[in-house]
Amino acid sequence: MFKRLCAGALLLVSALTVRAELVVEVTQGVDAPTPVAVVPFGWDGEVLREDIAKIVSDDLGRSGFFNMMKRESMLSTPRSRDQVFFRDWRISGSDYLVIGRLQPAANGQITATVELYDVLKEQQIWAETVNGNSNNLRDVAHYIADQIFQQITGIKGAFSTRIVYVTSEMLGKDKYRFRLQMADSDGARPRTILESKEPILSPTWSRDGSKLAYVSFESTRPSIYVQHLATGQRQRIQSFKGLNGAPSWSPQGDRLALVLSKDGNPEIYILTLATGQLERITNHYGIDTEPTWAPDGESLLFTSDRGGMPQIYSLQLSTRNLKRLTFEGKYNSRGRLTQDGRFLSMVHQDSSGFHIAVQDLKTGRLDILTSTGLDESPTIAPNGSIILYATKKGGRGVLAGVSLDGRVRFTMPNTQGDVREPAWSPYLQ
Amino acid sequence: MGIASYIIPFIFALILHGGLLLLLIPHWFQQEDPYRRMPRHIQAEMIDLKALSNQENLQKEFQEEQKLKAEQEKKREKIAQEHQQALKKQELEKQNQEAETQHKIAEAQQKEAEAQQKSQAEKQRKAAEDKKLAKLKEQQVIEHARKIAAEAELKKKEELKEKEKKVEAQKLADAKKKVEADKKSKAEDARKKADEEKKRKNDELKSKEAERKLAEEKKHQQEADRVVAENAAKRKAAAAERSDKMRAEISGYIQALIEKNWRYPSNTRNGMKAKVLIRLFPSGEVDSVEIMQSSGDAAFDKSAEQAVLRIGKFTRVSEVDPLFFERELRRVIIEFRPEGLRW
Repeated sequence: MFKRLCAGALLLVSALTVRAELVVEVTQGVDAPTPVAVVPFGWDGEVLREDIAKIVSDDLGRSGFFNMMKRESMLSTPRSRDQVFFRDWRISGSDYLVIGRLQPAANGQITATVELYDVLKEQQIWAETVNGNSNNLRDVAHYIADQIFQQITGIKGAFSTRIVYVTSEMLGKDKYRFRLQMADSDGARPRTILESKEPILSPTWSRDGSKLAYVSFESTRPSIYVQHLATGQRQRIQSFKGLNGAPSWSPQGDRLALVLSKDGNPEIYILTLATGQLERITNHYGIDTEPTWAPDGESLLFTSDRGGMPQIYSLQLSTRNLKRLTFEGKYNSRGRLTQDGRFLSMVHQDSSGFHIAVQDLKTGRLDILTSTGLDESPTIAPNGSIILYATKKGGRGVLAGVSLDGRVRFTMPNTQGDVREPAWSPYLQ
Repeated sequence: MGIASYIIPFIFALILHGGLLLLLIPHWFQQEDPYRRMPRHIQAEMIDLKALSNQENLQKEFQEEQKLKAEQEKKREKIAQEHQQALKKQELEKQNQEAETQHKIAEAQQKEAEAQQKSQAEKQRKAAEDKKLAKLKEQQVIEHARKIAAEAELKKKEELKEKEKKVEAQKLADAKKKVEADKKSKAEDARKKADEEKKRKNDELKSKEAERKLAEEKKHQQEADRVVAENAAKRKAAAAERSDKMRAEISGYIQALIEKNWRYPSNTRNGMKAKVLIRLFPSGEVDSVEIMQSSGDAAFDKSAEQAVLRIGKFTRVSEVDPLFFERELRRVIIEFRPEGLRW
């Protein structure tokens, strides 16, 4: 009896599971950025100071993730859903469509309503109304770009972040003007944080984005300063005899790694900010410099020529376990890690000069991202999508960016003088 | 018998129902489509004749098979009918023959009787004539008696004698005739009988032949059935092979099309994997796309979905056998598993 029941049950199960499905494996695809169209936002008032849609489009295009549709190619410029003909956008090859409209609000405010559509699914993915005024339209635009970036890629956008860099101008014989400047992530709206006749070096952000540390030669010998961005208040932290340089903020923000040569040759130290206590980390006759923290704060990466040539090493702080990370090429320096700790950007020298390279620490694979020959000081966007670096263009120092995969390269807008030593801020609150 | 005796059956019934319910639940859920189907604007399209010809071929094949079967069936029926007809004919002939022989016998008997009657009537007539003659003669004799009494008497006697002789001869001839007729009829009978026998034998032979034929036909039929079955098996194997081929072909086609249309995001890494379920219409149009197994990366999942949506229509799916479509292509799973990426 029971056997029969079992058999019956088995039969039923087999009858239920007969339906087969074809399984197709796809292992290859097209290595191309996602096509997105940002339609000019509707606005009926006087001409605004900024073209928000253009800023959004440029931001997204610079990330390397997207291929932005040119305005000239757009068949229509819809302002709202009922004006959108998805078929047109589909035919023109866009996967996503951004439309928006601006409306004046009370007190000179401007309200921007933006909608993001999945063209292929013909669905709205995201819509938001953002308030701003005519003075912060760029902020509004970067915010919108961040949201769109996150909606499409799942990665937090970093367009609302800032960059700092140092410019130098020769005003006359032996007369220079050095400026520490801060700008939007796209290089727009630069403002001077510090101006000096003497060199400024190695600006670095605190993890919360509220302070900067940098090296200034203003008192004839290099000293490390910490400056609060909100108040402009600055404080000299270290000024030993010899070299005081390359500060790097710990992820927790309570310590600073730096290079001092007070004991002979450049070594890495850790300074606890609250107590002023110094701890020597490296002890080698070779040069140890350019320290940077791993995102977990457990280890320090630095450049050392202890192997004969400059290479990047990692030092576990708890065990003092030293590990060499780079092996390709004669010269690898100025290591910076992505926030996930997987990719190490660096300056890599090959037969054609100094380039920005990225090493996948998981696989050891090294990719050279740039083709210019005098690239230096790579700094990575907090979301790991873009590396900003200094390079030479027309005999002048400029800032340039390259997406982590090397797909997109761009040059920052021209500023006065030589531009060097960029540093990308963390996410700002 | 108390209430207790119902407990076990009751429990069994409960288990059975519960089990059935459990078995059916996944089916229901499979049927239940969480994906809200949006009415789509379906554009009419020119029908590809090539696509149809394939189906036509299949239909033709099927029809041919049906035809062949029908023909064989007809043949078989015909043979059976023929056989029956032959049997019927034989019977009818037999009956006819019997009737004929009876009829003939009756005729012969009648003839005989007629002959007898005739001979009797003749006799009687002759006797009457004789009497008349005798009377006349007597009268003549009476008339002539006087003339030639003695002579007449003698003559009369002689005449009588002669007459008697004549009657006797007549009688003899009649008898002879009768014997001859009998003989004739008998010979006829024998001939007929022989004929009948011959015919019967012939019929027997015929029926035997028919039986043999039937048996042969049966054998043929069996052979044909066997061939049909064999062909069916062969066809089945061929169909399986064809469907394997079709599967390989169509999955190659789908794969190639998707690989051409899959734009994976910049942060795609080797080892990522997402499974996407596509529901297709027989026209090859994509009905819906659904992430079955996420890669954990939203952009990657989205790119996989979009690869399918970007294609929109797998044109060659409309060319496949509808049965194959129902079985394998209504739901297609695409596994996105990038290989050979930089990272």
